[in-house]
Amino acid sequence: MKEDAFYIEQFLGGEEKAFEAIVRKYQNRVLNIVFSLIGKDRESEDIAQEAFLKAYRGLKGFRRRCSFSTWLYRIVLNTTYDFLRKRRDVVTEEEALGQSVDARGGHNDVLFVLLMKERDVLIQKALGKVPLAYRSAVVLKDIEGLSYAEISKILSCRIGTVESRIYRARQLLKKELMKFGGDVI
Amino acid sequence: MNACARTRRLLSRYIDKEAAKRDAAFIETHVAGCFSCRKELRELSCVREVLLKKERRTLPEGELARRLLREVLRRRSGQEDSSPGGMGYFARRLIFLPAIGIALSAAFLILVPQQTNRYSWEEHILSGAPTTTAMTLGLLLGARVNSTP
Repeated sequence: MKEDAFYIEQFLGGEEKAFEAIVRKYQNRVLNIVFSLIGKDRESEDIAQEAFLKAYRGLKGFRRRCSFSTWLYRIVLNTTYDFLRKRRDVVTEEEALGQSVDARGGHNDVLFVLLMKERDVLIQKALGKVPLAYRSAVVLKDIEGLSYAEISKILSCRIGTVESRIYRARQLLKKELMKFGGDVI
Repeated sequence: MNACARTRRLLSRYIDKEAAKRDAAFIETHVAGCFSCRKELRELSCVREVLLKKERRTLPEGELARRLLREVLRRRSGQEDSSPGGMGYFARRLIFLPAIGIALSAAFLILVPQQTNRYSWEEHILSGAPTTTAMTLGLLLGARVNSTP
């Protein structure tokens, strides 16, 4: 938090390099949120980049009514929602498999890689079946590890709503993952 | 609300270790004697574990910052093109100036005070009197001429 404030002050003072430090800090977090929501590697990187660009342009107007991370995650979610609105499709199994091969290219144990790859593909596929509102809540909780209070600020809803969305998301995920024969859970 | 419904409502928070102590104690007591809620707790905890262990995407250190810098520079160079001295600036001026001229001419012709000796553009042109571009535009806009034939 203090680190973010320090970089933001520097950036607002004309030190553009400070934004690079912010991107370095958040790049993988943002990427994982986006990927968990859309399940596509290349597009996830593009969306993450676009979200940072929006943050770069909007940082001068950042009012500090919430933490920087909350503000950034809101931008990330909105950019992702825009993408999904434009392209109403879900990840195909082939695409996901191809992506996982790339992502695990450096692993030595082929069997392990294949098993884990298949497992991750199934998880991503199941996530894709969960409605976006529930998916966003559970991704912010279990992928990014945010608290209920932080999630409620990002999603602009009550903590009780976050609670029920996470519960519903996990129930639906359970149902979807069970269809894969219990290999995943 | 019965005990099962209350447990289900609090289950997510309990799994995420965000439940109040009193609620956590209630759930623990309830699931100890309720097979259905115990099963739900176990399964949802498994789902959470699955997501926690899900593979994380990583980009090389500073990769996105580099891409972003390239993108910012690319977009900036696009903007510089439209600054005075750039081709985009002049191209825009070339379109913009005639547009202003046309708009002003049209506004002038339409807003000219109505006179008793006015007659239509058609009559003006048919009379063989000299016509200007502004007059022709006025004709197109349906304005009326303000001079005598």
